[in-house]
Amino acid sequence: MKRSRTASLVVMGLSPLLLTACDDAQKSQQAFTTLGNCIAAGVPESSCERAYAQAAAQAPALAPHYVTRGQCAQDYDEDSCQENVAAAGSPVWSPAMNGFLIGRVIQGGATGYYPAGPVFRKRDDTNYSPHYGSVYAGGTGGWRSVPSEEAVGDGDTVGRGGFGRGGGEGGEGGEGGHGG
Amino acid sequence: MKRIAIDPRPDWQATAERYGFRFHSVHGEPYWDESAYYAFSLSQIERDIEAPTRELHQMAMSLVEEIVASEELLTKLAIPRHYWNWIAESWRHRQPHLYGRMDLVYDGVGPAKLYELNYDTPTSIYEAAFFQWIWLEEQQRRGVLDAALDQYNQLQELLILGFATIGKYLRRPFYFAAVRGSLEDQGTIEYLRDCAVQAGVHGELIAIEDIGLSRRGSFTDLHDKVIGSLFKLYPLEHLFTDDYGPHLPRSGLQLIEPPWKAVLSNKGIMPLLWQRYRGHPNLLPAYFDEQPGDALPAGWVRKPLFSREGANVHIALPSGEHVRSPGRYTQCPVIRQAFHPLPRFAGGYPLIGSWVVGDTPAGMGMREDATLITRDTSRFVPHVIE
Repeated sequence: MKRSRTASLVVMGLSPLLLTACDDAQKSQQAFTTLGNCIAAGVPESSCERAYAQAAAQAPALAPHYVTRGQCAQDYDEDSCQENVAAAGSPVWSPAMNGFLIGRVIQGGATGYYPAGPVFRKRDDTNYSPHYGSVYAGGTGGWRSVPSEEAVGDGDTVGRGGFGRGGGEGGEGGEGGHGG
Repeated sequence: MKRIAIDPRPDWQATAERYGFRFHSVHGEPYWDESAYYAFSLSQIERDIEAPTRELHQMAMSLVEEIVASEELLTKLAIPRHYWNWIAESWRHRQPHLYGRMDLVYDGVGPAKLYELNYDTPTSIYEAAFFQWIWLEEQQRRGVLDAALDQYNQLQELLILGFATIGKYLRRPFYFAAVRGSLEDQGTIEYLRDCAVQAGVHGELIAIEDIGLSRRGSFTDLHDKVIGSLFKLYPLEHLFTDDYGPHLPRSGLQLIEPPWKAVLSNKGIMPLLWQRYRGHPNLLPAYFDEQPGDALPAGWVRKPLFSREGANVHIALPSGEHVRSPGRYTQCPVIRQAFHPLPRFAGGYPLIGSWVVGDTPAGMGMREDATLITRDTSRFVPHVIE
């Protein structure tokens, strides 16, 4: 069969109430420094390994980049600052991965774990996550819920309406088929 | 490949509206046209559409690395210098992408030819992925169409999988944005958000005009919260030239489609593909047209780099006759592409939109126009596999 087995809508059309149902999911996250910590916290070993492997693979590309080791050391532990070989061109310095983040979603009685990238330990003892910004750094504090407000700072909006003029003349954004 | 007339479902408009398809008609004429469908054989789909789509996609992706590193090529593509580094970084980090649509000309026999890539803001995904699927399902349930018929359409499944895959890389909060006044674009982002929700990825809707700029140069929603990621059904090149555009590279905003898509959604990719894969059976000869003021020789088509919805396309037919579409892309650099006619069927000229979700060929939708240039007034016609 070359078509989807099912196709349904949950938000669009008639059933807007289902959206709230999806919002009932409890989302939380925890950073781990070792696979052992992760398994000890009750996360399935395979989920721990997958999260660790993905974080380690992504870390060089996602780590903050600095031009000198000194600049790196202003934000991160100097010992962790190393030359980043993943960057092309001129050398850059980046902190080494300090741990990895796992997200946990509990919905409808089922618990899922998903990899959420590397974390880097800052000098002020907070953790930086490229996916979430500043994250909870406690090593033993357990799962910490992540409302979306926490992932970002409060905006200080100074204007609106700077997008949408379509290059100055308005009009639709999407692109249908063209011939010619 | 056949075009078969069929009675529309008597309740198709009510069905469309029940499923949130508010743009089913344009100016009182059906845009969704189920008074006919196209029927293909499985080998036509797999050999002539799906396999070339996979190959063309890989060919296009193979060019990105070189283009984003080349000042010469970025200049040729008329991408403003201010965004070069941002685009290159987005590629270096392999910022995730969701989808794209390539437009193929196919008559049922010869190799399909690529007209262009719509890799930044493709539309007609709702029609192809969802409503076309519902049409076949209902016509089979009502006994109008044979239950054995299939359709080349794994779009919704793959979109949900796509959102599940990229969801963990998206900064939060995640928003979907389109121009406020476009019913079609608003419907499209509502549908894509639905797919995201089904993948467990929560996203809100915002009009592109409502996005705010903060003192620190980040972008905010109507509650003054900093937007983490934005799916924007709004062309990158328009973002570039809008007032807030210059803030994008330092804003921390993650875009879907990502900035590197700017090099693939540009018509300049067509001559670059031809340079690199000259003679490929699915490509048409194409060149950068350095002399846009010169007369266009017969058998060639001139298209602006950034044309949308078939605007400002100029065809010099082999007969010497000229066909032009109006539009506002009059100041932009142009390419020349060898003329290759759309096939003619009873309903006009069909063009195949072949979708790629992530990097996987995912399905297709067909649009018919009364003319050789498929425009935003063309009709979407469903298809089946026999």
